Amino acid sequence: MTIKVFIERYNETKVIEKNIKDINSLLKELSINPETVVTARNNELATTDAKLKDGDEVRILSVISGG
Amino acid sequence: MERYKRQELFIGKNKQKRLNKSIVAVIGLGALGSLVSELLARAGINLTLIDRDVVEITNLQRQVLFTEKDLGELKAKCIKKHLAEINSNIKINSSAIDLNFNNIKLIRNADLILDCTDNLETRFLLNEFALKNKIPMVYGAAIRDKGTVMNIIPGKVCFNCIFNKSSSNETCDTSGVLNTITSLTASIQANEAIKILTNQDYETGLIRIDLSNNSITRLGLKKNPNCSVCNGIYEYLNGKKDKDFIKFCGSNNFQFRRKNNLEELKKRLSKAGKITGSREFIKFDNIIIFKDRVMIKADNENEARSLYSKYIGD
Ligand SMILES: [Zn+2]
Repeated sequence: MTIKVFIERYNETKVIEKNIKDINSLLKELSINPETVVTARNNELATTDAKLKDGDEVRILSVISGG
Repeated sequence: MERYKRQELFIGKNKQKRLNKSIVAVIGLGALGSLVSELLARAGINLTLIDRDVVEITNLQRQVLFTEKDLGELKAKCIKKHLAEINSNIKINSSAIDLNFNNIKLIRNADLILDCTDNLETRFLLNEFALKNKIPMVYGAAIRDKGTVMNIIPGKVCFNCIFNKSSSNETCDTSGVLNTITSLTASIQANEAIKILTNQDYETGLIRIDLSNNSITRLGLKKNPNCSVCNGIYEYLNGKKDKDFIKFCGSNNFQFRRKNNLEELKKRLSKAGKITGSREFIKFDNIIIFKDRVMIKADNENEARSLYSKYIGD
């Protein structure tokens, strides 16, 4: 399966061709601490247990708290 | 009123009247809070301003309204003064306090809360307060060249629904922030506030602004069925999660909550070095002492704690 991932922290888009079950596994694959990000699947915020399927687009956004 | 003519031409008399009757609480008077306050004051909205800090030289790059003359002064006091000069027809209350579960009732009369704070703890506290008291809130935040805004409307998706397990390691280090993203984010935040106050369609998603490619992305939101706050559990508001010690983002500031006798401390510390300050606080080296807390600038927590025990006590 193919998943398109946008990592906001690095303004980087990656295409991952690998079977990945859910967002949690994807974050593990990318070595990103799930606590420091919020994630969206196909333009909707999703919890890290959200399942992934072929063609999904995932956005990994930093948790921003600066004012 | 002549003053609001250009705005009134666009939004109409009734909405302008509505704004003139509204009170917005702005929590945090940094880059977002200072600009949001100015925009709302000019638009004719009454304000309650809350901030615990004093103006520092590193603030001037992005925090509008402050001038070099304000350095070392309380932000809440400075902004009130500047805004009163801009619009003497609105009511402005300002408090230089560290907002916590004990004093948050101060903003109970607000029609809307603007969350412009610099830490997640206060954001969670505000979220619970807003939900419990059915006050709409607009969350805004910025870092580097990215900004984000989300409306938190009682009964809809709340801040905790999205950020319940979050921690933000990034803002606290030296990531930095541009004044262009803070002003853009603050403008969207103020605009959403005006939409909500005047019953117009407001944003229901999470807005993400990215100046690296000039994009504004709207992400859909869903209520989290397991959200404790939506289920009526207010752990910040009841003080369960209250901490006496906090590290603040950005400037290596550490805060210890403590009741202080300023006169007594003034006498004691003047033996150790030079003291400046005013009626509201005293400054000694990298330590600022308020009646209700002590703020220490230090490289790390250990250094802050050791300065605290060396000069303040217990
Ligand atoms: Zn919730």
